[in-house]
Amino acid sequence: MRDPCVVWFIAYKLNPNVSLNRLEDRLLLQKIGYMVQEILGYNLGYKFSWYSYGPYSRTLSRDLHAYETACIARGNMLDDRSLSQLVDRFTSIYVKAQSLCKDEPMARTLEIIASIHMLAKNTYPPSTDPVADLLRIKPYIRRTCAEEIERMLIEEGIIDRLGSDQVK
Amino acid sequence: MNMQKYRKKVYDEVHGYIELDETALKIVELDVFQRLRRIKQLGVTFYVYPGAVHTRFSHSLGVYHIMRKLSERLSREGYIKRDDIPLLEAAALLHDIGHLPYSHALEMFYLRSERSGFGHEDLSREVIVNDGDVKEVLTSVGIDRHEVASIIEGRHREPLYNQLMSSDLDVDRMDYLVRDSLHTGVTYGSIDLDRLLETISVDPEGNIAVKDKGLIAAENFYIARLHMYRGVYYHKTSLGYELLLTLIWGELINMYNELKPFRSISGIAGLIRSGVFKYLDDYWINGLFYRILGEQGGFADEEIKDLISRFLYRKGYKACYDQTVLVYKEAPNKAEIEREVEGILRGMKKKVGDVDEKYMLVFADTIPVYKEEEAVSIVTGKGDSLKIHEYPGSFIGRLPKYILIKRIYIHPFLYQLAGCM
Repeated sequence: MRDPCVVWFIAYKLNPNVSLNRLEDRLLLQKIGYMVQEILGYNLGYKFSWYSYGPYSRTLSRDLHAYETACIARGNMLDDRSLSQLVDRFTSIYVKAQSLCKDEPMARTLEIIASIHMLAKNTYPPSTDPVADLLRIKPYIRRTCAEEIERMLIEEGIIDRLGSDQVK
Repeated sequence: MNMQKYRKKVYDEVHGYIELDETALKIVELDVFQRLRRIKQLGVTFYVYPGAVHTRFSHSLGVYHIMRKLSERLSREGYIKRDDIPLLEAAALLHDIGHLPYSHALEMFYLRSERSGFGHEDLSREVIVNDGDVKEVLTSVGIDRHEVASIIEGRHREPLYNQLMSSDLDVDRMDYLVRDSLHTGVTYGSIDLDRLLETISVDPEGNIAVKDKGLIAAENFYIARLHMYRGVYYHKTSLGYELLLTLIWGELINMYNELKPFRSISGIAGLIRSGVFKYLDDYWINGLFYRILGEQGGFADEEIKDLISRFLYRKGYKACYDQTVLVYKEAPNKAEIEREVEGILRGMKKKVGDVDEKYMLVFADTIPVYKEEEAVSIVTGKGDSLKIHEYPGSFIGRLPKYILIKRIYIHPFLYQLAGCM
């Protein structure tokens, strides 16, 4: 069962002004969806493809539009303890990454986290150097920022160290 | 030129001669690929456009042909590794290998089902990875089957490969728009394929793009797609037959134990692994239907036989409520649409009395025409790029963003009673 409301909920928590009218926000919502499902392991029921703008799900894009009002109406779902924990875990990863890339906007930071994770874990053949592969298609990303975030994801046990079995 | 010697030429009604090299020929000769000769590309659309009986087989060859032309050129221009061309061609040939009989008509049953929600790409992956013959052929020509599957799933490490196979302007659409337009006779669905293939390029971020001199061809592509959605893919009558087929299928897989594997993707995956999948085509479904119609006693009651007859002999449900709206701004709210259609349905039920829900079928969906994040880019001679809807002089930004379709189909014996005429 697909559930876009969790994505809406976290997005509002991070930025109450998030809007589907802005392309940047729509991509931000996609990255949140990816991170919740693929990094935090909360199955939202979406399949993410790998495009130059990072992990992206067409079905999630449709659902975000279609269920926006319904999801806002479900705003009291934070009462659910497991969702609160999910938000806390999400925020913790985001805050750590943001501290490593202080000048980057939120959408860019999430884009880097989600893209490095997708390259390392969910593309095929798996990337042996996610940062290099990422910078090749997104030359506007700062190398130091991508490298710091990759290191943080390894330290958190979210992706494996390069050269391990996971990325062979 | 690809250095591999071409082994066979097939004459195609859209592209003329399609040259198959040794690898392509081995794939085409697989039983599970030959199965596609017996699956109509447009499912039940032939009930509306009698010429729409072309198959997934010819479409798959067409997609291969376009992929070959495009990847060879993009390779010459340095965007694609030469060694990856056979991989991309294999993905093009196999992209629809998992289609069930009647193509999207039966697929709709699984996509709409809350418990499954899988589509033909999932089954294509299963066939490519787990069908013994496919595995053997791909291994014999040195192609990693997981890599082929990853392109079809859109998770290959090279995003350009994923976009070639699935994006706003992909090789799949470039074939089916021309082919479906030709066979339905809906000429406004046609596109300038030669111009597109000459002007397709890659933007600085590695996305599929069109050179500025191909702007009109790209605009026409979007317009053609919009027309085909309205005139063919969501045609009122054929959509009614698709819904009828999904209704029948849902009843039968619960009624007959032999159809139990079709209740889940794991069940169908089992059929793929055991080599049974190659038998599943339009003929097989029709055979099943005729067998059921001829059964004396058995599981099928008169009700299901009536539905099957209506499907086979084109006496299906009729649209009692039909509203198609072009939406220019944000996507319509799903809950509101559902509430509205439910209200109309309740009104009809009041008129016809207490009848089974299966006699009234609802379709309510929002079909995207273009999305800003997925729109193709236009690149200038200087190498700058802009999304097509932002490009000066392009009218794509003024097109509707969505088509909203709301329909209620009703069994013919209730049609008059429900106040539909």
